[in-house]
Amino acid sequence: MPTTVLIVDDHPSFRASARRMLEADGYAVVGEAEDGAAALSAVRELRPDLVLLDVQLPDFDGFEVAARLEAAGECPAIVLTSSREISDLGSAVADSPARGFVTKGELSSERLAALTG
Amino acid sequence: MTSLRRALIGLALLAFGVGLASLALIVTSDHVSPRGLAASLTLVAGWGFAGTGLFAWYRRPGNRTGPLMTAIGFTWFFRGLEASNSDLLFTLGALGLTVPYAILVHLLVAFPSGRLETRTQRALAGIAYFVTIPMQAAWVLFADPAAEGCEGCPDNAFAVGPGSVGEAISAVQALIAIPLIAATVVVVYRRWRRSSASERRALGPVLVTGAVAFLFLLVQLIVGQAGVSDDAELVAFVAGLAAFACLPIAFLVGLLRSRIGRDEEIRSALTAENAQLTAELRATVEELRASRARIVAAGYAERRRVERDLHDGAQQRLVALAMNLRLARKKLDSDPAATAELLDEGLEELAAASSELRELARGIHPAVLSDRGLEAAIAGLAERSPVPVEVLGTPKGRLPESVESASYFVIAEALTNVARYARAEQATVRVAQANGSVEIEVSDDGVGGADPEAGSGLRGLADRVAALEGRLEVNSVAGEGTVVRARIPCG
Repeated sequence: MPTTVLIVDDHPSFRASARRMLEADGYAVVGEAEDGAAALSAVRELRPDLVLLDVQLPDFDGFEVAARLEAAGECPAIVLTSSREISDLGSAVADSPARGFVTKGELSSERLAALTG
Repeated sequence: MTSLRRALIGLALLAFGVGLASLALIVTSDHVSPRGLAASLTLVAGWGFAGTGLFAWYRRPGNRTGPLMTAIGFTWFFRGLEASNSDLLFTLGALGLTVPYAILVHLLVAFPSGRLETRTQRALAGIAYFVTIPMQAAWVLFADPAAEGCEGCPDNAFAVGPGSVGEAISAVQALIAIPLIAATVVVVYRRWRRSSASERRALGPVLVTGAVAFLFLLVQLIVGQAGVSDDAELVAFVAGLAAFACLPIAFLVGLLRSRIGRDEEIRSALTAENAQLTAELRATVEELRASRARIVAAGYAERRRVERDLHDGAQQRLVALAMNLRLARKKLDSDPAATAELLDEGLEELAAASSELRELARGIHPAVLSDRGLEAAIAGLAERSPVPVEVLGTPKGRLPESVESASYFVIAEALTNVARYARAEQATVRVAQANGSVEIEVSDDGVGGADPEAGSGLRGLADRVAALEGRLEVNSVAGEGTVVRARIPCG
């Protein structure tokens, strides 16, 4: 049974590339969401194992999405991603319930697997 | 020399001559006594009034006090005529003898403007002139100097009737004059009471001396009418004359004090003006501070926009490109067809990223502007604009960098707005150099109705233009298109 993934990012080109990469490595991408609100309802609906969550979203940011998912008792593994470096984000990543963070430029299935164990 | 000044100098010379003539008549008079006292009082008062009046007239031509005092001075010299031993001159002198008192009533009740403004002022002056001119003339027609106790007086040259009628007229004159003078003193007193401290400094000397002169005249008239004591009448007469002669001095003292007072007024006016200027300055500083804050904020907003554009644009494309390349490498051996597809997509992403970076760099600063100047940069803007743009006249030479840059961004922002909001068929850009300024006009035939205050873009540009001492205005009437005009001095 492959790991199911929800990709949350407002850039379609990133979503497409990430989907292709993850699917090539055996992940099942079950959905995409382009903002925080869509992400929350997609998680409720799709129950993915993993959420690849962009930090910057048009409505509220990825940290907020992670916090709300935790508050709602939803517990997919969350990996935050951003084109920024983790150092640009301060302690927000450490403070969030996410499993980890990967810079978009270094995103790979191996990194994801390492973070989600 | 002004004509007023010439006329006043002429009057001064005339007054001097008339005074000398009066002096001659008084010192040779058979019926004036004591001659020395009469001569000196006549000259002091006559010349004093005429001189002071002419001076006041010269200094403040719009104020009637000067002419009135001058008139008092001249009419005062009727006293000289009245001293004459000739019947005709003596009678003419008697005719004008009381006129200066009427003018003085006028002067005092209307002091310091000389204008009769209230009904009381007009009534008092009117009665005074009536008593001293027509009634005096009527009296002259019947007066009999010898019968009135004047020893050595010449005969009345104009006498037409019995002296008793003259005496009756004289008595009526005195009966009118007594309440008139009393009323004048009351008016003067009230005027003084109403005055502020600084007004009192200026008006006080004239009002007090005038009131004193009139009080003595009042005593003289009352004593004369009652017929109690000739000596008392004479003393009151001389004291009244002396007070009268002091009036010009009082006027000068008042003038001097009022000048000191005016210095204070000027000082307080200056203080007020200063406060006004300070307030205006403060408002300007506020405006400058606000515009500086807006410029700084606009700078930060611009940097945020650039960061955002980089992040959302080129960087996302490069991230996607990296992932595609990584995937392509992985599939290189197993699936060459998919690899080729991924590489093609990667090339597209790369081209798009490159174009976005170029666009962004142009937004930060268009290289063509620094390299080839405003004309080429405007041509580029016109070329890229989705709405057809006609460019009419662009400056040929190079302008200061800040001016070129501001001009470019005004045109770029205006054309962006045309493309976004105006729904225009055509836009026109006009740039002209005139009077050391660049004048920019961007107009369109679109829907109009743009609010220059609403958009931060134009507001920021207005600040940018204002920072170069220029002006930016937007005319946008609904249905009539939009015209953005800027004028920027070329330094």
